[in-house]
Amino acid sequence: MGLRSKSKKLIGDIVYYTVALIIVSLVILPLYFMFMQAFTPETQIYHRNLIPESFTLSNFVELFRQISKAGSVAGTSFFLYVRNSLFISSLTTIINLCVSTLAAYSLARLRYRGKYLCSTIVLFTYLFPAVVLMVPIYIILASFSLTNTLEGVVIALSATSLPFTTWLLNGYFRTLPLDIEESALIDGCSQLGILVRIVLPISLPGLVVAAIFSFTQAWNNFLFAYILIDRPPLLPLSVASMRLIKFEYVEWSKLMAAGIVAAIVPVILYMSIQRYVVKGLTAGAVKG
Amino acid sequence: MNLSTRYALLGYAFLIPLFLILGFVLFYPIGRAIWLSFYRKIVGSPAEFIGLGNYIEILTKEYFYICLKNTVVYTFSAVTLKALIGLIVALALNRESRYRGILRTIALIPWTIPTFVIALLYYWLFHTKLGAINIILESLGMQPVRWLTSPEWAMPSVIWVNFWRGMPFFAVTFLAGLQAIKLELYEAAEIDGAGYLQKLRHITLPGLKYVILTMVLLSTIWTFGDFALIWILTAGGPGMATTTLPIYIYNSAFSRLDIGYASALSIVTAPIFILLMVMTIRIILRGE
Repeated sequence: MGLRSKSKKLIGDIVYYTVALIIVSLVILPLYFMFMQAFTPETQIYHRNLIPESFTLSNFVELFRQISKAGSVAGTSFFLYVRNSLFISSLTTIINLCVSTLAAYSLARLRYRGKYLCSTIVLFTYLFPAVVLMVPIYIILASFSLTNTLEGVVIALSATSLPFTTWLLNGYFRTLPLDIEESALIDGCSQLGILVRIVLPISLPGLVVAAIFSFTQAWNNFLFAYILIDRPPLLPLSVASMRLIKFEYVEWSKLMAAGIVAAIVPVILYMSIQRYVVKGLTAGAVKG
Repeated sequence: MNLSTRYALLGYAFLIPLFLILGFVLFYPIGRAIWLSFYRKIVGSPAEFIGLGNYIEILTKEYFYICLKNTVVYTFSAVTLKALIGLIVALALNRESRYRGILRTIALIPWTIPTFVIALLYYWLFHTKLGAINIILESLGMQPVRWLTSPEWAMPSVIWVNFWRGMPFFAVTFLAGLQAIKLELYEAAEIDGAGYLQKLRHITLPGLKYVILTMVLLSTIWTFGDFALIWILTAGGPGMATTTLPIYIYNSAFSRLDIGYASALSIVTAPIFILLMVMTIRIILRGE
């Protein structure tokens, strides 16, 4: 190896490790502060010390302890909010999967007039921003007395997440080989039978990815729960955690503990499908 | 009835559940909002027809333009920074390395954490007295900064949080795009004696064009419609320093309870989104 290419490699190494180090510390530092505060006593913050003085789980214990009757966010056990979030996310996922599997299969495999228009509409509604819909959806759900219900939040969420899962599954179904379905068709299997008995079993990975996306998107949603629900016992984790900063005296350790509780489910779920996260969210912009 | 007619009918039938739900949560609400935008409708009182009154009020008062300017500043700065720095990071990290997997996982962490958790975390990090950022500044002998409560720093601060969450994701996406570019192209260019910048200009950037365009457009739509992040960090303040259109729509509907005005505001905002969406859809469908 010549001197020139050697020094070239050295520069490459320096650039690589410097950038890698910057990225890692950029991501890790704020999270370090979060964990530090969540696992140390509240008083630590008033010492203005950024290295943990002692370790405690009491912030998490506090968070899940029922102090007063449901009513104030600070006094209610976070179990309630976890349960509400679980309910909203699970119901959204189930509805999403049933509805979007049928629609996506139709768009990916069946032939009929207007299909291109239908798939454009699906893509259009996927991109449609929730903020433009916030007032219209509120008006409709209020007129059906669906505000202050968890089901109302699920319905509102489906406006943004149904098109997304449909688009995702449509892309997935298209990658499946056609020949198995064709031979089943020749054997006299009905189209619905093909979908249920052949396509769904081999699409399991795609369905899992779609399920994880709709579950986490529902879990992470703040806007719809915030405008639709004002009764504390019905709040999901997102709005309940936010209410912790609305007090005169903010308990920062508890707030950070709540953040960790709220983040752990989506982080684990997304990480388990990280190969698909990039592809899925960018509407397939990255191939391969 | 022949087979292809049956499939066509089945194709439509499979789409019915999707379009029924979208009709209820998307198309009908938007129609209702357009209708209400011609009325003076305050929550709890009957609607009164005022024609274009709401639109005239929006377009003749300065609030809308202040918010539009804030939204454009927020979106343009955040997206440009994410794309530019994300690209630089991706270029620097694009090489075979045993750290590639772990780096990708770390870079994806901010994206997998729910936005509201990130907003709550930074709400604390940016805190004037107790936030880690000012604690570090002061220990270095510098003056503390009122990150979220001073008019000049509030906007850069919320832009930073959006950047922190999105930039690593951009980098990961661009990296995936870089790895899809064929190596032979570079080898051929090297034989022809092309330098780094020439390869960047004639091979790398053209190869990434589709990924960059899609990401920038998607991110523009998402950033433009950002609600939770700004709402939790500053609620649009101080004054109107960080009041973007989504915050303004929320305030009109749920603080001033002026549903008619908020509907009109949503309708006025929609064309900006629709323009961005049409551009995105054309690029995505062309890439199919």
